[in-house]
Amino acid sequence: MNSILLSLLIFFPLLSGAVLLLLPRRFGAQVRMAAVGIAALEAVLSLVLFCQFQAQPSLQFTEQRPWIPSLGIEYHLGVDGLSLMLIVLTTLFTVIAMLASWNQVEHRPGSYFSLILLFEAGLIGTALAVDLVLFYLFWELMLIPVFFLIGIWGGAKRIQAVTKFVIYTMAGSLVLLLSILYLGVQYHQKTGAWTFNLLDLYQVPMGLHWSAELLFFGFALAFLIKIPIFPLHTWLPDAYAEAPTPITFLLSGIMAKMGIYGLLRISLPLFPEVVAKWAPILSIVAIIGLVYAAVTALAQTDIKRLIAYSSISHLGLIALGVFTWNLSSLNGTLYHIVNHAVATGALFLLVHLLETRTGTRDIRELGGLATSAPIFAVIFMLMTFASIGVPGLNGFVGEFLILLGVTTHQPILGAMAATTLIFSAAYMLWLTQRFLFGPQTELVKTHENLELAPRQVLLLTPFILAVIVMGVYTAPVIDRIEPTVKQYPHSQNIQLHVALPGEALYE
Amino acid sequence: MTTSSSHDAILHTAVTLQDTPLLPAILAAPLLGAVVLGLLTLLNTRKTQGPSEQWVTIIACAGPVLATLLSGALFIQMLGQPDLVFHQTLFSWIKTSSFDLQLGLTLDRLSGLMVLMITFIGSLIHVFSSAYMHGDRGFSRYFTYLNLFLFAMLMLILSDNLVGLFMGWEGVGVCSFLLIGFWFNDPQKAAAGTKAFVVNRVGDFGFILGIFLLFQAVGAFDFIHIQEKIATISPLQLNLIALLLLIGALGKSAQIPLHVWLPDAMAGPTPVSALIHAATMVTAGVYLISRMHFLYDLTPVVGALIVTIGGLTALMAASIALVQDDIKKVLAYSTVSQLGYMFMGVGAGAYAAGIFHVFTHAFFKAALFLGAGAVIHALHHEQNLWKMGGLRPLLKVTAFAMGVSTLAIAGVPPFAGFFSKDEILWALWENHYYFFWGVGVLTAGLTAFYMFRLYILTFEGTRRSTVEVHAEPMAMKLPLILLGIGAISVGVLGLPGTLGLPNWISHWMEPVFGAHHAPDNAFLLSLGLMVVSLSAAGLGIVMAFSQFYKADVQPPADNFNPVTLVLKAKYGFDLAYSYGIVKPLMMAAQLHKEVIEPMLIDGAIVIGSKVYYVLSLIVRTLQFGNVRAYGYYMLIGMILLACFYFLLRQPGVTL
Repeated sequence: MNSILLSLLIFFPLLSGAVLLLLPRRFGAQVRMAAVGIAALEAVLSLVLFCQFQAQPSLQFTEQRPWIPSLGIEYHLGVDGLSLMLIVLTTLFTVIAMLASWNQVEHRPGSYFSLILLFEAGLIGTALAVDLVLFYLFWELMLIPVFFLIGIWGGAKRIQAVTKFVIYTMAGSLVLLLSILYLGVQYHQKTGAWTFNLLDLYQVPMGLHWSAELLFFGFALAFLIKIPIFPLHTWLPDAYAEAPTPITFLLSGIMAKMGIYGLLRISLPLFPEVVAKWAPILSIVAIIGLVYAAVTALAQTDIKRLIAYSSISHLGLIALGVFTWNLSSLNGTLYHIVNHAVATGALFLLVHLLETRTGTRDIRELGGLATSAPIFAVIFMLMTFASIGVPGLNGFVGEFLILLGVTTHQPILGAMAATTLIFSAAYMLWLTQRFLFGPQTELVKTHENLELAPRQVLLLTPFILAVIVMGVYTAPVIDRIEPTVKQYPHSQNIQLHVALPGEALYE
Repeated sequence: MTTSSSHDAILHTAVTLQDTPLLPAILAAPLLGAVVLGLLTLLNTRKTQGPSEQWVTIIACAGPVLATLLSGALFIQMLGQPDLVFHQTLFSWIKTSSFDLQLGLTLDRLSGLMVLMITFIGSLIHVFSSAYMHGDRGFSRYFTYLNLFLFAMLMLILSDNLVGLFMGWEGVGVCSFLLIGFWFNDPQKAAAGTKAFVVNRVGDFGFILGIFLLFQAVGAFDFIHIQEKIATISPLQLNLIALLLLIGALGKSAQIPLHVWLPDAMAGPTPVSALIHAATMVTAGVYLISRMHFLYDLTPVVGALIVTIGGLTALMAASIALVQDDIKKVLAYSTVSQLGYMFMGVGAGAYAAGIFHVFTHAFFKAALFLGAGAVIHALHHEQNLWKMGGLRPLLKVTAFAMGVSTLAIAGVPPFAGFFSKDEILWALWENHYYFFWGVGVLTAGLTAFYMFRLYILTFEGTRRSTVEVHAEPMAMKLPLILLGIGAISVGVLGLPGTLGLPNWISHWMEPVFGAHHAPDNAFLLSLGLMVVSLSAAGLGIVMAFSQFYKADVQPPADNFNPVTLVLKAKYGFDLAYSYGIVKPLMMAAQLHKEVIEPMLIDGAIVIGSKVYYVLSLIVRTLQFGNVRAYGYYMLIGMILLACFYFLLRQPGVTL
């Protein structure tokens, strides 16, 4: 059964973005208006998908058409609990990123807003592709708009930042392409048929052969750079700091998650044995990254860079959840993807709003903001508490599930990862202590109107609701992701290290 | 260890759970207040005046008073029904296919007593605050936090499972952070808030790992299921879990080595110190250990550790209090010291005695802090003891409340502290902790000395400052009087059973902790021990009077004897943490930022690109535009191709 909803989700922003991009420069204001309208419609479409989605493990709304039959390449889309959350996040975040950029883009606003639409199409396509060649195509499509968005509208050191970003991600992409082709060849050798359909590829066990390990690391490299995992992360602080902040908001909220998504969609199900073998080492690397980024965050003087490092630290925890790979840790991983997007995204937006008013993000120049901008301070503190995992807010649920999964599996690793409780509190609260509290600096004293405008509070309201509601009412998300999570490991015939917490009691 | 576990199983089966919507209502009352006040505060941020103080006071006090009445009503129903436990499941918080974590509330005799005390004292402190915070621009913000705190504290006490308890546990930490740094424009106060939260997070790190390991072992988070399955856990695991939960308790209850945040927490408004940092939140560690008594009953080694830490903390903090000149700092160290007492009690297995001391301490320490608040208020924010003196005629009610509370904390009968302190000392002796009994007695002597020093320097002698004194307003007097009466009288709830007197509170909590009967021949022994501890207290009081009760008392000249220096340096904990942890961590952070990131990690990339560049130089030299050289390349290429072709023609060679 073919449904065109998913195609619509991809091609609506893709085609309209391409058309808008071609319009002459003088239509900037109209293009901006149209782009926001398109993004809003897209968000409605994704919510339709969310509501019609059935809580079941298999791919839904699938669309399968032959594309290059001689090589078995298909146009094949589908959505499950894994991709659903990413789609909804992407469409909502795109609208918010556009609204946050509304008055901020003076240079060629038309191109800026149409590039965001293309970026959105790339993100959604990546999350929906079931064919690996198609996946690769969208994976690359994601990169190009970002290149221009940072390179044209970024900060002072944007060229340096974007070059580093492109070199890193292109290196990853190249290996990804080779791995996809080699995987196809392997499949051809084993079955005599060509396919890049993930569902077919899942059926052929790769085992622990050296070629499987090679392939695993080929895919993993691309994904780990995208996440990014220490020590492949240095593109991130530069890119995040130099990108226009609404774009940083999209990069951290959505694009970083595509690396995690790749691990979950491709690496885990295709190479379960290899993952099982390397999981301890990968877990330790993830934890090192978690701690390393947290410590580095302490030394930052640029608020945006500090939050960028906190983002790396959180993603270390999320990756640890992937490599631990039991029911609890995977539930936590998927939950935390949303949490991290919401809380960190809101923090980036707040920094953006602050910078547009004061012209600086330097902690040393700011101080005592809570006096001049109490509502700003309240929202910033709320997001801080969500980000450091205070129970009752959403961040706790994800951290709790991941750490529960890790600790019940490997207590020592759990203890190492749980230091995030201490580190995150230290760098975030020390940040707020320095720039929200304390005596007002000259810069803060001389600026009037540092407080958020009502429409900006309105923009942030969805985030406020999300951190509170998702902190106490977890069922709507967990019910949709768990059926997919329970599919892991796909290879039921091998004994893995998976120990589900509490299993003994309930069965 | 006392023998209580044998009873649990029998009593446990006899428990009748009764659902009641009043339990969520107890939680909802202060939460609703916090939400309403929070919105009021946010709506008024742009105005120079905050919302009307009268209205804010009414809304703020309504929640706590209502909660007090509701918990009182439930408490009365529990009288005479030892097996009655109230319970209410709220909703499913986190549900996956391996567990269903439901938020549930339970009111048994332990939480019943705690809730009644917290709501009652909380209400009084709300009333007191309305006068203390009068005229502050943050008036409504203050009460938002205070109501929110009460909600989190009640969540902590009422939760029927460890994760819900942890939610309240961190919630009170957040409110404590917000209230310590309430006057946030002062960088020191803001820093004290951060310090409190981060140090507490060290404890929470242990706490949450303990929860995970416990879940791994028994597959449940709620106390009933954990208790049922506790015997199935291996001893090693049990001890590890007990230790991890203890780390959490050490953080929240400011015990060595995590005590450093509490003295700094005095940066908050004084009623906050009374409510959060004396009467309620800091006793949560004692509550946690008592709540998990069925675990700690099985881990005597961890119990001994708790006694040791508690004893050391009690003595250390009491000795530091001797040299403090700030009235709130004396009380802060006194609180740390008294919490050490409580830890000694629960560590020795005397949970009822520990909770009894939590209960009496809440009254007299809240009275002391509120009294200190009244004095500070009267003297226009003066906190130095040496600038007080002679205030008794001017602040009669405060002098009364602080006077009786000083007698109570010093352990003078029949004031409240005497009975609870003596219960703990008796439990230590009975369980063969003779050394720590001695530590307890010594601490009692020190406590009597520094508390009378505080009282005499504040209220007796001649006035040493000339500022005009504000009299206490009614809203301050009423809580002071009620708490003073409590400090005098609540001790009768726990008369020493060893003397054949009725110990109501111990009996009250038998359904939770199990019955504990004093040995028959304990009368003389316990009387003798009481006389010893009383003499220690008496000696402390006499020494305080002889040293400070004179008209021309002077602050001691700067004194460089090593003991004073060590005490003034608070045994060097802050220094050690600063040089042992904070500074190295910051240096590591700088190292990451300045060296490792740009040079090592990025360096590898840069070197990679350099190598690429050098290689390209080599390749480039091959194509400098000399046509003759190109001719040679062509020739070499053709020869190679020819060789290759002939090689392929050889039999047995395939591509």
